[in-house]
Amino acid sequence: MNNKRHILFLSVLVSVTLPFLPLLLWSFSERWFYPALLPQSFGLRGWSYIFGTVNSQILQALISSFFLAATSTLISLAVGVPAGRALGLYEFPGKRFVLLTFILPVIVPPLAVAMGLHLWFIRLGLAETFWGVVLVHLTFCLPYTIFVMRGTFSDYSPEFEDQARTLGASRLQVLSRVTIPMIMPGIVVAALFSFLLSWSQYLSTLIIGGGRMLTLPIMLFSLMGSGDRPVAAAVSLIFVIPAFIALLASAHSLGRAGLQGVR
Amino acid sequence: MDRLRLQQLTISYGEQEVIRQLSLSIADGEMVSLLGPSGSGKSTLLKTIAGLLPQQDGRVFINGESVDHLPAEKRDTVLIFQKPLLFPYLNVRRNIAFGLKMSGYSQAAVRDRIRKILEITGLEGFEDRRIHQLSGGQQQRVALARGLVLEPSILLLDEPLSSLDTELRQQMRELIRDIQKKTGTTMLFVTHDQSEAFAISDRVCVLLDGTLRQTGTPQELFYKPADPDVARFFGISNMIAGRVSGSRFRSRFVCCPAPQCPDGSAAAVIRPEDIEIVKNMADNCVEGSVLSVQFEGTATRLMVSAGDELYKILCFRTSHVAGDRIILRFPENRLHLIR
Repeated sequence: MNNKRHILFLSVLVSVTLPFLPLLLWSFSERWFYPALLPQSFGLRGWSYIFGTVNSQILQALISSFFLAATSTLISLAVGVPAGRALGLYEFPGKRFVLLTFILPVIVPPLAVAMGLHLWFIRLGLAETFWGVVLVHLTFCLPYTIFVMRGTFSDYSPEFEDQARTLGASRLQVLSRVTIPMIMPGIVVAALFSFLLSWSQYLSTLIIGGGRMLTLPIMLFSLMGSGDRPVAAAVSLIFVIPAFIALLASAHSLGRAGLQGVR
Repeated sequence: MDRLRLQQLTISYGEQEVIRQLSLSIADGEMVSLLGPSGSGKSTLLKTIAGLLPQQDGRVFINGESVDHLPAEKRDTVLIFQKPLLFPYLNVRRNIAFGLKMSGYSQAAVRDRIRKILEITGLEGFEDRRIHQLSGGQQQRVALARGLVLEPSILLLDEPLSSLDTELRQQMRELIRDIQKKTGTTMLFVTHDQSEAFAISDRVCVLLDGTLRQTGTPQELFYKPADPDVARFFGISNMIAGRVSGSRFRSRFVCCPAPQCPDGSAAAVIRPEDIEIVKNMADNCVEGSVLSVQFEGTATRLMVSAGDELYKILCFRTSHVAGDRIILRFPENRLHLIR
């Protein structure tokens, strides 16, 4: 039994990490020509290109990607958690219509959404600004957040809040000691979704940002085009880090969800 | 002084009045049950007392002071719900400590009070358990401990035993009764189960259609219902219409003394188990025929038609079958008059 489990674990590990092996090799190679199995010479040129100079473009892109994703995530949580609560707990006229409009940006091709919004953003002076890009990212992050939180809240019993209040908890204490801990697994999953969605946006950032917002995906595409494989591989690896963290964190949060009888 | 006093309380959900003009007093250390069928507004009343729902009219006093302006967290009441509602991310100890922490008790005081309440509720050794490691009965016991540890002026219990199975329910009844005696906590216990209400409380209040119909000891309610609805609620469907004149009640075949009853039309009720089946005709007797026989285990339920009326009779180890002619006797001292 234990042996079988080890085999399963190993096979999952191998199939997940195998695609990253060539990337890892590329990022540490200096010269690697066909048909050699391994690079002819190793070096740190790829990595030092990224971290070597303090003000390197890629480091800047890393920082702006991070702030963009973090801002989008925070805003989509701030809006999506109350919206998810309303949709998950209450019945009101037009609820199905509201749900449909929320899911529209996910159904409509991103190119159409971004192109359509671009015209509006130019008029409103939001094109090529940080907040303009945050807004366009929100059109993708928000639906996911709302749907995850709606699911969380449809399993949630607001009686817990009443119980806490009769035990002497003020409204603020109810929020921080009861509501948020109860929906934490949902919040974690929604935040990861939002962060990764924003982190990997290319098209919408390109159109709305108009080349002013240099994020990691935008740098990555131009590096791929330039043919500098070692640098592109190193950037790709950095690009993947949040997804790995997300994988670990969601495993942790699912463990927590087990406590609530989900498992 | 009264722990809790409700004065002309009216509560509505939207247009519909759920509780109408309800007045009730509960003395210190009393254990009172509020008994009523589901949908009679019992839970709504408890939530209003706890401050979770607003009232339309009337006032709530706790320890003689009006609490109408106080939010739920500032009222000296704790409501225990039907479901245990234990916080799943906290262990047993932290669940019990929740209320104390909210009110800012010191670490030492919290530890001391928890130790005491664990002993009273028989939960010693469970402090570090996770909630999902507890059975339904244990969870409800922790919920009880979490409320009791705050030593509220009045503990409100909203059918806390209805999610448990029969045997466990019996144990929990005794436990609650026991805790109530040990701690002297004033409790208002809501239930739809008569035997639960009777077994657990000093005084029972019957709530039907949002109004308080009768308050009294379990025996008073059971044997001397105040009106036909209360009688029916306690399973008395045998009603004999008649008249009172000169302190005697008379119907076609029943006659009994009616002291302090004003003259006029009245009805006598009798519990199904108090009607006797006799061999010979005598006073207060009527002949009838058995319509149906229903064996229920301990008792057998007979439906008897006699003189245009239907009577329900509970008897033990009977051999009657449908179609039998029998004579029913209504003992004078078992008849109870209602207006």
